[in-house]
Amino acid sequence: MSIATFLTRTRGNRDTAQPFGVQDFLAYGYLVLGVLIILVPVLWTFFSSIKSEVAVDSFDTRVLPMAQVEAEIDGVGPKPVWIHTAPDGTRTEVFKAGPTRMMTEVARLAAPEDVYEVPRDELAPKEEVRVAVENYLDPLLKRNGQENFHFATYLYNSVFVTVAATLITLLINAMAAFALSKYRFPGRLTFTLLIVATLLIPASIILVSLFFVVWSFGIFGSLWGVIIPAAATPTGVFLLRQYMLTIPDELLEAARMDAASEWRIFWRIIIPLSLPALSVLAILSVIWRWNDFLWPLIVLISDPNKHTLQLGLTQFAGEFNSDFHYILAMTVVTLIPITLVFVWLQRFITTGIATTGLK
Amino acid sequence: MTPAGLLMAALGLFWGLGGTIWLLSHRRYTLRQVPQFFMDLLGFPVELAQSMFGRVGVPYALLLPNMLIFGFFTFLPMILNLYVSMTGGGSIALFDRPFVGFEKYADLFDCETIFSPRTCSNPGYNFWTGMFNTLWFVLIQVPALCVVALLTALVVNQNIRGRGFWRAMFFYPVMLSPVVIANIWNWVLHRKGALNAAIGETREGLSLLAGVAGFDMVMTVLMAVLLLLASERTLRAQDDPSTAWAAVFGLLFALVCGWAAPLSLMGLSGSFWLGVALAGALVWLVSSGHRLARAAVIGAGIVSVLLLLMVQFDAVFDFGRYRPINWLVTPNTGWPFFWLVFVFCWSHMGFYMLILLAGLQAIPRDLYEAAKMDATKPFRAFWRITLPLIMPTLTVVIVLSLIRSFQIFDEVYLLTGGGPGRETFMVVQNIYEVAFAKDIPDYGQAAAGSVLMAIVIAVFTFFQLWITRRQSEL
Amino acid sequence: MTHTLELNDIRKSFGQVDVIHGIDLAIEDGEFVVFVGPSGCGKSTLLRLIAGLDDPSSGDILLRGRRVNGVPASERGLSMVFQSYALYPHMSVRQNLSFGLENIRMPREEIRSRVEDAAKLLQIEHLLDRRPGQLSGGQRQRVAIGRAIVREPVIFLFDEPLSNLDAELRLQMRVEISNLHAQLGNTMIYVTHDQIEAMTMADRIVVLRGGRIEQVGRPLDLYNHPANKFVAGFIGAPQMNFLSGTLDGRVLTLDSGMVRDVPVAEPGQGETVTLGIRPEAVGVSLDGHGDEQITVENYEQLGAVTYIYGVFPNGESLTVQHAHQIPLTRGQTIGVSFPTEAFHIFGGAGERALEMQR
Repeated sequence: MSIATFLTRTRGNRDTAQPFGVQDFLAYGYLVLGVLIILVPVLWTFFSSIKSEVAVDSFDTRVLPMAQVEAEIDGVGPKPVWIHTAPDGTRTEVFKAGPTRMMTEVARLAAPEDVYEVPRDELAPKEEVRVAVENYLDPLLKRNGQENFHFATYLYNSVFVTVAATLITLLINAMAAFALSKYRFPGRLTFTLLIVATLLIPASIILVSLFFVVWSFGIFGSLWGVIIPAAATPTGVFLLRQYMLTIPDELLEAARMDAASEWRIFWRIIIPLSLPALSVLAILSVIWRWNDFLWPLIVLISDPNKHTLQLGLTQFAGEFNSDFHYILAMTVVTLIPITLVFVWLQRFITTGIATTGLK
Repeated sequence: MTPAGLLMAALGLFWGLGGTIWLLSHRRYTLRQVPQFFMDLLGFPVELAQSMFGRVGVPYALLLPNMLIFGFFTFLPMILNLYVSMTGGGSIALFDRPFVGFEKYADLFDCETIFSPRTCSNPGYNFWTGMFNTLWFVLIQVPALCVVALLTALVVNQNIRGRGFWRAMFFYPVMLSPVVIANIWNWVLHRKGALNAAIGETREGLSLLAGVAGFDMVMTVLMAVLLLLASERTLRAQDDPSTAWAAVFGLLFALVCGWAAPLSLMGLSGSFWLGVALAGALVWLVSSGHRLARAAVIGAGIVSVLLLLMVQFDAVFDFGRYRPINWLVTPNTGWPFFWLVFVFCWSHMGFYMLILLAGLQAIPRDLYEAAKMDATKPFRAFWRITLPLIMPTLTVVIVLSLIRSFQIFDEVYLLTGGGPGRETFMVVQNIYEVAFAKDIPDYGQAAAGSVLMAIVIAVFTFFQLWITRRQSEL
Repeated sequence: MTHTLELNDIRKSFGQVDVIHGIDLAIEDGEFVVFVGPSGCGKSTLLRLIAGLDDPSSGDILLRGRRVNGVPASERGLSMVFQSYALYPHMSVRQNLSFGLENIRMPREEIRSRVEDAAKLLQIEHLLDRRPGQLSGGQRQRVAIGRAIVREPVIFLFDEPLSNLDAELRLQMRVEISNLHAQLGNTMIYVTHDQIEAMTMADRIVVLRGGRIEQVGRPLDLYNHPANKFVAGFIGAPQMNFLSGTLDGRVLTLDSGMVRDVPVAEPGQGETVTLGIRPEAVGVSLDGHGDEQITVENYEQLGAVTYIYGVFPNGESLTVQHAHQIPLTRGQTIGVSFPTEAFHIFGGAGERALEMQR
């Protein structure tokens, strides 16, 4: 087998190997392009977030975080370092001793007193690669006047809402799905149709009166006001019901012969056997609740201590419209947890949703 | 304490205390069985139902919590919407609200002509602007999303390496929250952002290159070689022309056609689209195995060489100075709307792709092998096997994305805020602003808008289901 | 004396469809009773009614004299082995066995000892920590039986437990279940569609058809004295031969031509009857002598026995089981003889067996 064949074969073993045809080329080209469109903005945001404030504000389009070097000058204090390239090609490290004009006053680092003038366009900043950790640390540690991003509070609220809502969703959806899949009872069709109906009622058209209901329940402005209305999901009920239908009825009858109460059958037989579907629903629920925006915006906006990460980030971005370096850093902070979860579970998530979910 | 709070407390007391007493009086638990006790306590209503009514009562008890939440937080609001839409004032207490009948609806319909929102009253103007924008958005978004998702699913479903990786990469944006997405794209699309910088630098580089002497000749020869190679490859495939090479050839043809601009001789524009249409026809002929396919490829090859002689490459690639566009802010360019569609696709495509991919993988391989034995052309196989079998999944995807696109709020609100002007102002934003973001909230108005929106969504969904039902009957 | 299980006029209908039409049955302590019948005869439904998984539409079920209608399955003190075994796939064998005992809140020590006793009895001790998915068909079968044993039930119920096994294992498990019954001495009710299982295992067989009991009796009684044509045809392999004829007085005239005096208790009045005769009761003579002649259509030489499939000139077919090896060719004509004492005559409504003067 020639090396060319070896390098270009795309599938199969030695015997069935086919050369890398133009069709494969188009397919991979499409995929690479797609992945670039998806990844480049995210990565660009990340790389921008570790640039210094100056670089961000001047929209520096280099990938690496370049920052101008500062030097401590005797008797003057810290000053940015510039490199002066003379017409003959000699390079000198200088700092600006006066305002920037056509002819700028500069002085050597070693001899700050010895000021001389050079043309402005012969000066270039001396740069080094420096990760601007302060973009992250200032808001997180509430330094340098960045006291409005309560990361710990937001994270706690987001995690609390996500975990509580997911647990409740799993429990009550599984109960409903169990009833609909494993019992014959009058009204089963009615209940099923009612749940189908909720599938077709989008959340945003009941926004206003849901607000009234939540207000009358006294959970407006509290995290429960976000958790409870979203806990019963039609998608979850159907996903689980579909899966539970595949559990043989004989198992339930065996358990009944084994003197298990119906609740115990649910807990000890149905739940463990539905774990694949339950974990898919758990993932979906986590994505939904973690990324929720509109309803938390209505319910929780008035109390900064109840803001979720998404609300906190929105507020933060709104307050400091020009502080891009902080906004970018906090965006990255917000996207990191979900990215980690995704990297960790990606195979499981994608195959799970594809095989178990939503048929 | 609110009545609901009292209710919750009573429920908790019944569940926790009553359950403990009942369970302890009926069963014995050893110290080791404490976890089991709590498990039983959690299901106490179900246990109680079973002991009171036998197995008949159990499903109702199991359904109860789910249906209570559906009832209070989905069905009740659904009905309340009608009531609220007929009341006025800013009171939050439901029964303090004065009844105003259909006044709120009348406000919305207070227009000279409903299709021109500018002739409406203020609330009507906002609502109908939002509604028409949303309709436009849905009409563009849903087909675009479905086509891209289906195309991606088809490519990922090919016999390619690292399928899991590609699938995961395309799904990744689904995991991101709208706020993060908005911040990312705001940054990329900023006037001095990465996109403008990249476009600017590319154009500058090309302009420089075009200025080099002999560029025209080199490009002409290069394109000629490429065209010849592609057309020769298209024709060389043993029994019939290769679709993939035909696609490459078609792309080259469209480019040459666009550059040569034959229509401009007659003073018309749109040469590029003419090229695209011709190339599409060519690919269709080849992939459906039409008997004219060979002749068409040869003809297109001759035409493209003639066109190539007309192209002045140094003029084509001399772009001049690039003035960065403020993508999300400049009015009357269509760009804010375009980017909205793009970002929405970017963030939701992966989910629908996964569903479609699952549908594609459920199609038995045997069918394609049987089709191959019957000498079916790939294009025909797609049209006659893949598409009919993926149709149920595609219907689900269309309905889901339809409902989803109608409700678009987060991305718009965070990216453009509805601007510039009212160009990207969507109906949900109108509802949100009327009810929650104004100094004097007008819940009745917002509820009336919600009711109208519900009707529009219902009409769309049923229309869509009706169409696909007609199709699946065929 | 009260019976272990008593069924009084049990009826069951699913919606409009009647599945069980009034069944009366009493089962004694320690009996091995087999419900047998073709598929759809209601035998499994009847078992589920006894188990408490379904409730009868009318009639009483009495367990040790106590009426248990409406008593849930879990409180009847029965245990059941399912056709698919219904082992909990997510639990180990040990957990499968102890699940039912945990549910009735038995002390841990006792659960352990019971599980281990059952495992020892069934020789599955080495499998206790495995999952059902890791077991072979026969091992799963044993675990399923073990799960029934640990409850120490009043009655064991078996719902076609051997139908998922291959032929060899089926034979082996048949013997084991019989031995188990001998060892434990519990009452067992066993449902099967396989009459061989019924014949080999049962103390008493209940033959069911269309939701009614056709006959109840010990295996050989059923074989020797079937109450009607259905039972006669269902029990025994190869199937009993049925030849149609008419009975006038005490003279039976077969359609194939043979005329014979038969000692029926009540003389007939020229009505159509069916003569049943078991294949092994038919005599064969190669030289064509006998009561009738048949043409050999096919034959099977098994060594110990020979099966001959022949047809009468009038087209009726006859199966003969001959206990020796004989030279045969297809198309050959042989003579067959029918001893009167082996006759079963079925006639009248329901084709009941006519009584003979013996």
